[in-house]
Amino acid sequence: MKKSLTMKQRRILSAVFWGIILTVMFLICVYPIIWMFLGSLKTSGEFYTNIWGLPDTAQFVNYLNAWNEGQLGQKFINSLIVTGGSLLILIPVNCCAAYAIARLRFRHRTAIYFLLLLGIMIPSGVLGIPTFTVAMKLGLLNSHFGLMLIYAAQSISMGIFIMRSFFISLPKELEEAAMIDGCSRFGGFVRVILPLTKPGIMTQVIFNGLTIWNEYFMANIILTKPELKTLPLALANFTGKHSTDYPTLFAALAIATIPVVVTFILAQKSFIQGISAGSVKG
Amino acid sequence: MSTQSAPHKKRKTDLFPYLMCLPALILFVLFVLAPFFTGLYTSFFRWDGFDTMKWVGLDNYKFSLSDDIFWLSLKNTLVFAICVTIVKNIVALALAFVLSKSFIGRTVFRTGIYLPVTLSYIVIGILWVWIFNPTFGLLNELLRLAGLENLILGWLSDPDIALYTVVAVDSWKWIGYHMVLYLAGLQAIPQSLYEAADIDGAGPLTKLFRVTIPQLNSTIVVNVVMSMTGAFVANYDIVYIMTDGGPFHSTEVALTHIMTTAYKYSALGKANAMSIILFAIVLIFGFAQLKMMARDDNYNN
Amino acid sequence: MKKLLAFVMAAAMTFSLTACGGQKEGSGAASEQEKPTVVYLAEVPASTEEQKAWEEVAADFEKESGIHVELRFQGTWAEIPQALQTAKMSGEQIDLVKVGIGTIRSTLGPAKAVMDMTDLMADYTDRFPEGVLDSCYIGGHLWAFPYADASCTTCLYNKTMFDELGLQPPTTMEEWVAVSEKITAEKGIMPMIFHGKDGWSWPMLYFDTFAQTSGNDSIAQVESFLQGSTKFTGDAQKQGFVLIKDLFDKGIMTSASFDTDADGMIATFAQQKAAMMFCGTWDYDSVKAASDFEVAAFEFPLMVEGARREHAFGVGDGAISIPSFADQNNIKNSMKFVEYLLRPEVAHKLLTVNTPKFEVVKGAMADGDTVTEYLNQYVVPNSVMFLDWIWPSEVNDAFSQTIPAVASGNMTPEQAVEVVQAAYDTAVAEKEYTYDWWNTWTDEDWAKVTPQLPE
Repeated sequence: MKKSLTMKQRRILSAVFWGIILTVMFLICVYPIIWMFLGSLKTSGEFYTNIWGLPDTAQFVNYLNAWNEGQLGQKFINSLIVTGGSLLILIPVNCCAAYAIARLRFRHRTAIYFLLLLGIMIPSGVLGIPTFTVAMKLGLLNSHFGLMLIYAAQSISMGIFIMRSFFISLPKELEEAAMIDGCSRFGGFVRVILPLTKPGIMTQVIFNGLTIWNEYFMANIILTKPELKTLPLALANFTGKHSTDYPTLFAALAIATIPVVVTFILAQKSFIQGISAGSVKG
Repeated sequence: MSTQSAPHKKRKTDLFPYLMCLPALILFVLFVLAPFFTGLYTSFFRWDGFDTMKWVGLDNYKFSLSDDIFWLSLKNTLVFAICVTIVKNIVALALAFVLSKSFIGRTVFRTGIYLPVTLSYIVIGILWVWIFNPTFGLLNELLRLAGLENLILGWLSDPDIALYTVVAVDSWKWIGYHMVLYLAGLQAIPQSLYEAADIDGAGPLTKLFRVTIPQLNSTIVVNVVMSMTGAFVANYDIVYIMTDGGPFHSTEVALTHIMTTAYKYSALGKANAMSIILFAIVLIFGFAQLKMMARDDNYNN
Repeated sequence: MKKLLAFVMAAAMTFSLTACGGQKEGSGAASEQEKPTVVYLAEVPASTEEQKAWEEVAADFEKESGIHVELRFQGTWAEIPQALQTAKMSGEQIDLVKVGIGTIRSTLGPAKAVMDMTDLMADYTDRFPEGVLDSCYIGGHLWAFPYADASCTTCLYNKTMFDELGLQPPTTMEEWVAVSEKITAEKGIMPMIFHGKDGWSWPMLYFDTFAQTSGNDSIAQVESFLQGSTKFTGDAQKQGFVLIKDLFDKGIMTSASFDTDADGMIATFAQQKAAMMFCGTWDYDSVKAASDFEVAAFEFPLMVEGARREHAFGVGDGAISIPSFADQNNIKNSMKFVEYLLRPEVAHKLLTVNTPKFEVVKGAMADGDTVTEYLNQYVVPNSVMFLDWIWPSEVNDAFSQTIPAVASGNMTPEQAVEVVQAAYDTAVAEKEYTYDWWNTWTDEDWAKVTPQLPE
């Protein structure tokens, strides 16, 4: 009787403790987004004089201006095409390679794995201009497809690194079970193994999607035709060398952030379902 | 069907694994390795980006190694990397534990803590610099309200503190990222293992150290290696917007010094030489970590 | 799942095909253009009005001359050299490029990346007000012409507050200290704010202090230093640092300036938490828009007896030049567009979009307010060129790091000048930095940057 009471007390205590920590973390993490949103509704003068407060009168017109001045509509579509296309290339490519490296035995497995891992160790910036040279030689300048290939390629190391850890954590008997069911090796991979790594695939969608959505450097040198430009390039419309129209810029940034947040909310559901590997075993 | 039966009949090399890796290898060689070797090649030249390149042999490496600021920046990078790796992983893992339990509002908390990852560096730069502002900043205001005036510091101007301020902001930005990876990893742990532990009468701590951590090993490796290498090779934006290496190079990390050398000083050869040196350091660190931590490499053996 | 994967693959294929197709169509359209085309590379304009103005001017010019102007707005001001480099690598056409004259002096000039425009511009020098073109001459050759507002450093103050306190803007160090004491005593705020968190801002203060400590000989002394004739370790050089430290020691500025960025400075001033600020004229429009009190300017006060006040001023931060890889046969067309741009009505249309403070091209001036008038009346006649347009980035960074270190007492002026000297020595040793690169060029080098016009 006494013991169960203390257990209960401990449980409540720990719930309160974690509740407070979570709430503080939550506030620190959410506040900037709220601040950005409030900032996007201020006048440019108010942005400097009323930094932490609510806008006097909400300037929703900033969103209209941002949309029109940055021609965000077309850039939005371009960004969707480039990000979506890149993901369609990189996810099958990464999954196949990571699967082979994690679960198949072949002679050069470690060598190939370490080679592909080098990508996360190359300092950012080294690849910039030389990548442009490669794209130029392959005739991929001013092409969304070229940019997709570059983005997919430069996400391979991280993607394989993450995906491999997911494949490895699956029980060893899965392939055998699939073979007994009469699947080919590729069929077994696609039909049995891949569905179990949905959280891994979703993390790639979230992370690589985000990186690609925000990528500026390569897009700026590869896409020089106005009709091809992506969202991050549009933000240059709001920043001068010395002066920036912050409320309009923030409005544009708020618009650009929406798809990323929506993607996250949709994708994180897969972590809840997760994998019930036990049931696969049985 | 043929892929399945062929290798069993003849002892020929099994092509299937190679075919699976092929697309990744092609893309990787074209857009990562080839550019990287171009970068390596230019590190032996003096080049401003426009005029003809001039072969200088190993001079750029000599210049880099005799550059005091480069050494200082490497030291700062190391401190930065160790700090953010520890902070990000401990906090992210703790949050992932809590947020993997089911309770009302879980999605809201997960999304909220992930938000900084999505936030533009432009906003982060202005917001945090202003939160630390001595005149109208939120942080000093809070400290004043709490009666902790003596804790008010030059957050970004005191050379002893600035680096840790940047560490804090960088950790804040990326904790959500690692939390997501840990969450996904936690979901992959078979529930049956916990049930078995329950039957054995294991307490929560025992379950943590006997089931969760060992099962999470490969996820932990991924997170630690990613936060470590990221702090070496991809921390330019955060340092640039917060301090740009100042005051007096106290927050100068390798990447800010490399970018300054490349784009402000137009010394692309030297910048690439420093990048290659940095790459070599990360390579040693990264693979040492993998060797030490990765127990799962014995899979299938 | 297999179906899903098949769908994914198919979608990926479709994407690649459409993307490829799109590209081919695009390049086909470009080659169909029979009209002569001039490509103008510049940073993305900061406002829609400016972008529209450029588009209209290009259309009007095409109507008049039959020459099509392609406006290639790419990235930010700082990224233009990179955009120029990638265009050169891929063999894309660029006929005119807008860059900073400081960038030409330090990088693009010695790299032979831009043309010598002296002869090309000979007929148009009268389109500029007296003295405006001076900063674009390097080594006696004209490399670009300015086509954006000029700028200078200045002090702004809260005139409403000064009037209320019965204060006059200071002209000497003593007055400056007295005014500051009164502001602190009466208002309980810091007298003056500066954006010391931005490393690049610190040399701006040094321009003004060194102008005085060098006996108004700052440019010549810096040139002599950059040519290797003198060391930068003299008393005047050290004294330039000391005077900046004085601003903090004597209570004119407070430690808050070390932690404040450019936008934070504007916010501090606009919130009346500081009564004065030291800034560039580029900050003025934001300050004016954010402040609900009267803002006025005053000259950086006299700190050295017997010297004259001189202020850093520069025209040519946005200057139009011809890349050396431009098609020689097209230069004639480019120059037609240049002539068009320099017509007073066209220049007025393009340059007054951003409320200019100074007249850079004749006719391109709008009515200014009192601050603009003050700057033109007092600052311009007493001005020297921005030193960071003269010395290399390595030296500028040495100043950016050492000045706050000296001002906050972390470094002595003696150490600081040594750091500056060492930065120069390193640039010479590692990059073969030469200040007067134009004197070292051979005929062959000159041939690369001299336009060979047909006929």
